[in-house]
Amino acid sequence: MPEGLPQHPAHDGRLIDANLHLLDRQLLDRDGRPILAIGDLRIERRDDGRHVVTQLLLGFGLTARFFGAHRPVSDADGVPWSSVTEVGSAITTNLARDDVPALWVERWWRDRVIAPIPGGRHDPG
Amino acid sequence: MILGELITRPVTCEGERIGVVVDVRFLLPDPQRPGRASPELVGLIVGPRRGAAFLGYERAEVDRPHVLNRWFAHRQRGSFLVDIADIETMGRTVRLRPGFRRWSVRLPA
Amino acid sequence: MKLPMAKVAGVSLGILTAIGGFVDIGDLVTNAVVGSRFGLSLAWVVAVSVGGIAVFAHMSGKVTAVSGRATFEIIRERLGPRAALANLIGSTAMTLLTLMAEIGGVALGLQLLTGVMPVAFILPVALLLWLALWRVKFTVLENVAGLMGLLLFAFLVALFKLGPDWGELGRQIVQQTPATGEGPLTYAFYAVALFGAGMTPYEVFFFSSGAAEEKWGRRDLWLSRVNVSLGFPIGGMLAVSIAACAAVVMLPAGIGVSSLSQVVAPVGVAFGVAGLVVVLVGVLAATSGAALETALSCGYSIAQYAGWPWGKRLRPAQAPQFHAILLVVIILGCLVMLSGIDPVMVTEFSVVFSAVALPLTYFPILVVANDPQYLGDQTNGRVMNFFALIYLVIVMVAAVAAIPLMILTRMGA
Repeated sequence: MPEGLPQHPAHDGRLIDANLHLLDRQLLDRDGRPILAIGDLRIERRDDGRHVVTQLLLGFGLTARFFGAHRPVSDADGVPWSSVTEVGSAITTNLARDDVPALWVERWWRDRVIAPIPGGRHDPG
Repeated sequence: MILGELITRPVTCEGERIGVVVDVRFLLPDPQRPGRASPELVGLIVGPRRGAAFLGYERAEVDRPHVLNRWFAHRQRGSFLVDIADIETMGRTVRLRPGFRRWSVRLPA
Repeated sequence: MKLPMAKVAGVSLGILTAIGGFVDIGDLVTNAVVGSRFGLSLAWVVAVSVGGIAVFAHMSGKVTAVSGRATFEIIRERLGPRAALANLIGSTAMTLLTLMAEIGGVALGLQLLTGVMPVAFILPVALLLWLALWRVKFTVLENVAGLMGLLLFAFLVALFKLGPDWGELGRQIVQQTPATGEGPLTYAFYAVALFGAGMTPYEVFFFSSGAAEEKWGRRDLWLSRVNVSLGFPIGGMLAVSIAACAAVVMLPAGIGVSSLSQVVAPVGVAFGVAGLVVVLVGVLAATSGAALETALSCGYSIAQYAGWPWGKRLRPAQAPQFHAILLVVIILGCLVMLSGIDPVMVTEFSVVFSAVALPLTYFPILVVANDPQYLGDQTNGRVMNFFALIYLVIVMVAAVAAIPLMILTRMGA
C-alpha cells in the first residue's frame, strides 16, 4: 500500500494487530485439536500504565462485536494468555481440554448425546 | 477492557473527530515463547470509517491479487497508526494528544 | 519417487465431490430437462462451471493441506463472524435442501428398480446414510459412492448406441443458441441454474475438508491437482451426456422431462432393461454419494464456523457437536421427505440460497490463497489469480441475476 506516512521506529519483538492476527482465529489445544474460535480479548491496565492482553475470550455469544451490546464476561469464558505457545494462522496453546471451562458445552453433547449411542467412543470405523 | 468494545470507538483530538479505531497493535516481547510475556498495547490503527477489513493487505507480504489490493487500499486510505504515547484517554471516546504523530500502518516485514 | 498407493486411490475424493456437484438428483433431472428443451446449446455453461469449481476447490484444498486451516475457519477469520454467519445460513440452507432432495432421490431410484412406493424407502435410506456417516471410514465412503457413481457413464455409452446425428449435436454445442422456440430469458435462467448447480459451496467445503480427512499435506498438492483435473471434468462429461441423451431422444419428439424415469429412459431405449438396471445403480450411487457429501458439508461448515473439533477421522466422542449435526440434518431430511414432497422441486429452491453463499465463500478463499502466512511459498501464481478473479466476477453476476431470473421466468417454465 503506497503511503506517504513514515514507518514507526522498530520495537524489540514481534508486532501483531489484534483484529487481524488474533480475533476470529482458531484456538487449538496441546494436541493441535480445535477448541473454539477466539471471540474477543481481555485487556488490563497494569500499575505502570501499560495495557496488556491477559485473556483470550472464546466464542461469539459474548462478544460486543457481534451484538453491539456489552455483556459481563467472566474468567471462565476464556483461556489465559500465558497458555499460548504459538501465534500463527491459528493460536496454539498448551492446554488440555479438561482445563478449559468453556468446553462444558462440548462435554455435555459428548456425555449426553454421543457417548450413549453405540460406537460413540470407539475409534472411527 | 474488552477489545471488541475498543474497536469502532470514535477517535478525537481536541474535540475534532479524527476517525474510528480499526485495530489495536500489540507487541510480543518474546515471539519464540509468546505465552511468557503478555502482549503489550503499543498503538491504535485509526481509520476513516468502521467496517474496514484490511484482509491482510497492510502487511508487507500480502499484496496480491493486485486488483483487490488496490481496491482495499483505496477504501482504507487515510488510515494511520497512533503510538500509545500519543493517546490521552481510552474511554467511550479515544482522545489523542494534540500534535499526535501519524505513522504508516505497514507492519515491518 | 515411490507413489504411496493409498494416496493414489485418493483420486476418488475429486470424483465423489464432482458427482455430488454435477449429477445429484437435481442435476440429473435439470440436465435432462435442458437437453430436451435446448439440446446441447447450454453445454458451454457446464464447461465454464467445471473450470470455476476446479479453480476454487483446488485453492481451498491447497490452503487446508498446507496450513491445516479449514475453509469455514478462513471464511470466519476473513469476513468476521457476522458476515460469515450470513454465508453459513445461506450455504447451510442450500445444502440442507439438497440433502433432503438426495434422500428423496435415492428413494425414487429404488422405486424405479423395485416398483415399491418411494415413501417406503425414506426411513431405511436415512438410517443407512446415518450409519455410514457414523461408522464407515471416509475413504470407503469415497471409493464406493464415487466409483460406483461412474456407472452413470452408461449415458455416454447409450448415446453412442443411439447413433445420433453428431453433426447436429456439434452444431448445438458451438452455436449456443437453441433451435427451439425458447426465449432468451429462459435460456439465461437455465444458464444461471446450471452454473450454480456446478459451483455449489458444498463441493468446496466437502473437497477441502475431505483433503484434511485424507490427511493431505504440503507434499500432496499434486494429488489435489490430479483430483480436480480429473474429477470435475468427469462430472461435467456425465452431466452433458445426460443432456445429450435427452437431446437425441426427447427433443425431436417434443417430450418434456419431469421425472427420473424419463431421465433414464434413453438408456433403456439403447440397451433395454439391462441398461436401465446399470444406470439406476449408478443413480443410486450418485444420489447416495451426494447425500453423504451434503450431510458432511453441513457438519464441516457449522463446526468450523464455531471452532468445534470436526471430522470422521476423530472418534465421535472427540467431535460430539459435529456428529450431532450429522444426526440432526439426516433426521430433518428424513422428516421432510416423509411428507412425500417432490425432491426435484426442493432442489429448484436451493438455487436461491446458493446465490447468497457463493460470493461470500469464494472471496475469502481467493484472498487467503494469496497469503504467505497460510501458504508459505505455495501462494497463487499469476495465472491462477487471473482465472480466479474472472470466476469471482462471474459468480457475483450469477448471484445477482439468479433471483430476478427465477421470478421473471417462473422457475424456467
